[in-house]
Parts: sequence; structure tokens; C-alpha cells
Amino acid sequence: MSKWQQYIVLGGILFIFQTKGVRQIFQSSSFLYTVCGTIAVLLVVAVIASVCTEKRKEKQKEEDDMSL
Amino acid sequence: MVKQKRLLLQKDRIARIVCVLLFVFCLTCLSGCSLVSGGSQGNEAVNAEKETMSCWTCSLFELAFRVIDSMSVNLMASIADSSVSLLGVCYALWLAIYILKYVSAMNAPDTGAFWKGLAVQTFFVTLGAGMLRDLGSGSSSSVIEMITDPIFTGFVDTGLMIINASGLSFSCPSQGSPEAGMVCLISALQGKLNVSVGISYLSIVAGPTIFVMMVGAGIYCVSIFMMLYFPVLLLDCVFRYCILIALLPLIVVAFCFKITRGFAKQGGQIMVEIGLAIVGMCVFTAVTVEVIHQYIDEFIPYVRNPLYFLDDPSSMDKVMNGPGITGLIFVILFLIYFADVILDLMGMFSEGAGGLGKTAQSTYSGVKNLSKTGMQAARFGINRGMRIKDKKAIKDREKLMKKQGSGKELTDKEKKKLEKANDRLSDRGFLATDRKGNLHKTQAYDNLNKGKGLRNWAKGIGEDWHSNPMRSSLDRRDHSANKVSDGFKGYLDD
Repeated sequence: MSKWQQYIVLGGILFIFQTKGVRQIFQSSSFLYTVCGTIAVLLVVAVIASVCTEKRKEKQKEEDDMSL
Repeated sequence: MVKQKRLLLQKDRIARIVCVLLFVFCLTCLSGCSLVSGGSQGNEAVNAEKETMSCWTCSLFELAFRVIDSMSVNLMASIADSSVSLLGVCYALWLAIYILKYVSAMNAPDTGAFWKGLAVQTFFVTLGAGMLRDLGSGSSSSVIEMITDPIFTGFVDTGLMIINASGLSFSCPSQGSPEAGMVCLISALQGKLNVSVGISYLSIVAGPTIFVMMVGAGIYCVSIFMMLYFPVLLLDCVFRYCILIALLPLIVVAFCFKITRGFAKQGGQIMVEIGLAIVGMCVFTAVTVEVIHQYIDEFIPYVRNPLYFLDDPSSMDKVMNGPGITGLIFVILFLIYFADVILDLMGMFSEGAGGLGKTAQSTYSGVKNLSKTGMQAARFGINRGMRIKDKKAIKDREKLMKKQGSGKELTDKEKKKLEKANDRLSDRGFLATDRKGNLHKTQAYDNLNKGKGLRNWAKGIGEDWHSNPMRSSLDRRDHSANKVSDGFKGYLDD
């Protein structure tokens, strides 16, 4: 990247992050709590999905053993 | 005529003229240049010399450095706060996609690998969140204090270490602060350029002819331009570094995810590029200082005491019209032009950021050798010019002496010509004067007048390449070594 490209790209990113709207959204604690809540829900989904998968695997194994 | 006027008033020409006028205006404002009103020219020159003693670019540089630094720290703290939420959003998106991939797999998915991938990513995100919290609060254990600042300082210190290790006529010890190191270099540069500013200021204020004033203005302009240009180039590197610092929170966020790790890598590359540019600029600034120092010492050592010329306007005229001053303008312009090339060169080196010290050292040696060869070439040019003039003086003298010897009377013009030739040859040590004022040929005179031929020509070229114009003149004037060749046995005048 040339020097002027660096100025334009990096300065542009800085400008976007300094705009009022972006700062208001990203720096508000309610937004952060919402994000944390979403992550927690997704982690729970991950746990449930993995448990279901394991159960399905066990069931499949039992069925395979029975057929033999 | 009308066509010429129209040509002069073309749009691009007007822009150029306005630029030149603006440049001269800026320089005049910066210099505090004033007309001599009240008080003598001597007082004005003394004041000018006093003014050149202080490093005014240093305070400008320090101010700009601090402003850029504090601006970047404030920006970084603000962006770090936003970046925590951004990191959370990115992590949530990553998690959603990761779970979807796991759930929608056609084959039976590997639960162990799933949880391993999740744990690794969570570790990176937790680490990133911790770093961002530290950056936001300005903790002394933050990434900036522990990693980026020491790296940047290290680059500046590398440049200073190369300078100190190369045995230049000045030294800038690494003080652990990049600002102090750069200010030391700028101060040294201004110290050397103050000599040319002093003589040029004096030429403008008390120059005996308009040509001297114009040459003085030329040197003044290029010196002031160089004084400003080099700090600006250093500040350019600092500015880019500070933009990078302001973006550090985003680089940390990018580092946490595999897909955006390239962005963080780009940040690292820019950091190395800026660091190498700083090393190159520090070393080149030092080389510039040394080149100017050496040039002044070798070609125009008398300008170190410009006040001497106040009592002797004819000497000032001679010096300002001489090749030394013109050469100084060319040397300064060459160095200004080459500074940009250095930045490009260091940019190219940073593409493969290996062998840092070796690269910087080889660049430094290359620049130093190039400058040395440039100086030698300039010296050779001056010597050749001097030799041609000396030969012409000998030829004129011989011709006129022959005419005088044959009993013919010389015209006033010829007498003046003979006197001028004798003066030149005496000054250059080709003729020796005895106590009665008679002139005698020396061995150097005979050697120079040996005639044509390839051997003599090659010998002359060799001598001109290796000798110093001023020193060889002084050596010839020592008549214990350069003896009189016409058989005179009496005492010679010193």
C-alpha cells in the first residue's frame, strides 16, 4: 500500500469510528449487554446442539449393533 | 508581444507564479527578514547571526510531535471503548455461523473438534477484550506500552546507534525517547545550515552587488527549505505511526479472527515500513549533516565567520561568485531530492522485513559512498576549471613577456592582462615573489607548462581527481618544497 493509500484507508476507518452514530451505538452499555446476551444464547444453543448430536450418534450406534 | 502576454497569463503559469510568490512570502515571514532601518549594517548582521544560533525548527517539531501523539492517544482510547462492542458483535456472528455449520453438517460432526475450535476462539476473544479494556483505560501494561511503543523507540534507537557507531563528527545518544533522538538530529542539521543562513543573510543585507544579493537569497531559500523539509519528513513517519496507534484497537479485534487476521498482519507490515523509514531518515539526516559539514570545511571554510566579510565587500563578492557557494546550493538541492528517494527505498526494503540492521547499515554505507563520490566529482570539476584558467594565464603571460622582451611596448589593456595573469599565478603558487617584488617561475609552473601529450593529460586528470583545490594551492605556495626553477638564490617573500 502506498503512503497516500494508507492515509485514505486508515483515515477513513478512523473517521467512520468517530462518527456520532457509530459511537453512540457501540459505546452504549445496553448494546453491549444485548451482544453478551446473544452470545450466551448462542453458547446455550451450541451446548444443546452438541448434546443432541451425541445422543443421535449413540442411538445410531445402538441401531447398528441391533441390526448386526 | 500580445501573444507573449497571453502566454504569460496562461492558467498554469499564473498558478506557478503565485506559488513562487507564496513561497518567498512564507520564507520572509519565517525568517523575520526586515529592511535595514536605523542602526548600521553591522548591527543587523550581528543580530542575524544571533538569530541563527537557536534551533527554531526543534520547537516546531516538538510541538507537532506532541500534538500528533496526544491526538492519537485520545483517538485510541475512544476507539478502544467502541471496539469491545465490535469484538462482541463479531464473536456473536462467528458463533452463529460456527453453530450453523455444525448443526447442518451432512456427516456426523465431531463434537470434540467443535468444542476445541470454540474454546480456541473464545480464548482469543477474551484476550482481545482484555487488551481493549487496557487500551481504553490507558493502563501501563497495555499493548501500546508493552509492544508498539518499545518497537517504535527501538527503530529510532537503531538509527541513532548506526549514526553513533559510524564515527561522524557529532553524536546523538539514544535516550529511550524517539522525540529526543529526532530533535537531536534536527538540531544538528540546523546547526550546520545556520552557517549558510548566516552568510546568505549577510549577503542579502550588505551585499555589494545585486548578483551577490540574488545568490544570497538563493542559498537562504534552499537552506530554510531544507531546515523545514527534513523535520516534515520525520513528522510524516510519526504521523503515520500515530494513525496506526489510533487504529490499534481495530487491529486487536482483527487479530482475534482467522478471516480478518490479514488486516492485523497489514498493520504489522505498516509498522515495519514506518520503522524502516524512520531508521532511513535518521541515518540520512545524519549523512546530510556530515556532507554539509565536510563541504563547508573543504570548499568554503571562511563562511564560518561571515562577519569578516562586512569589512571586505570585495572578498564577499569573490566568495559569493565562486564555485564553492554555487556547489553548496547544488549539494543542498541534491540532498533534498534524495530524501524522498530514501523513503521509497526503505518502503521497498520493508516488503521483506528481514535483516533489519543489515539493510539499514548497507543503505547508510551506500548513501555515504555516493555522497563521497559526488563530492570528489565536484572537487575534480573545480580542479579542472582551475587548471584550464591557470594554463590560460601562463599562455597569456608567456606571450606578453615575449612581446615585452622584443622591445615592443604593451598597450594598457595588455598591461592589465599581464598583471592579472601574474596575480593569479602568484596566488595559486606558480610564481614566487622575492623581496624586491620580482616574480620567479617555480617547479609547479614548469610542470603545468610542460606541453601537450597523452601522458601529461592523464597525469593532470589523476592529480585533479585526488587533490583538493585549496590545499594544493597552499602546498604550491610553500617554496621549500615547490622550489624556484629559474636559478634565483636569494630570499623569497612570504
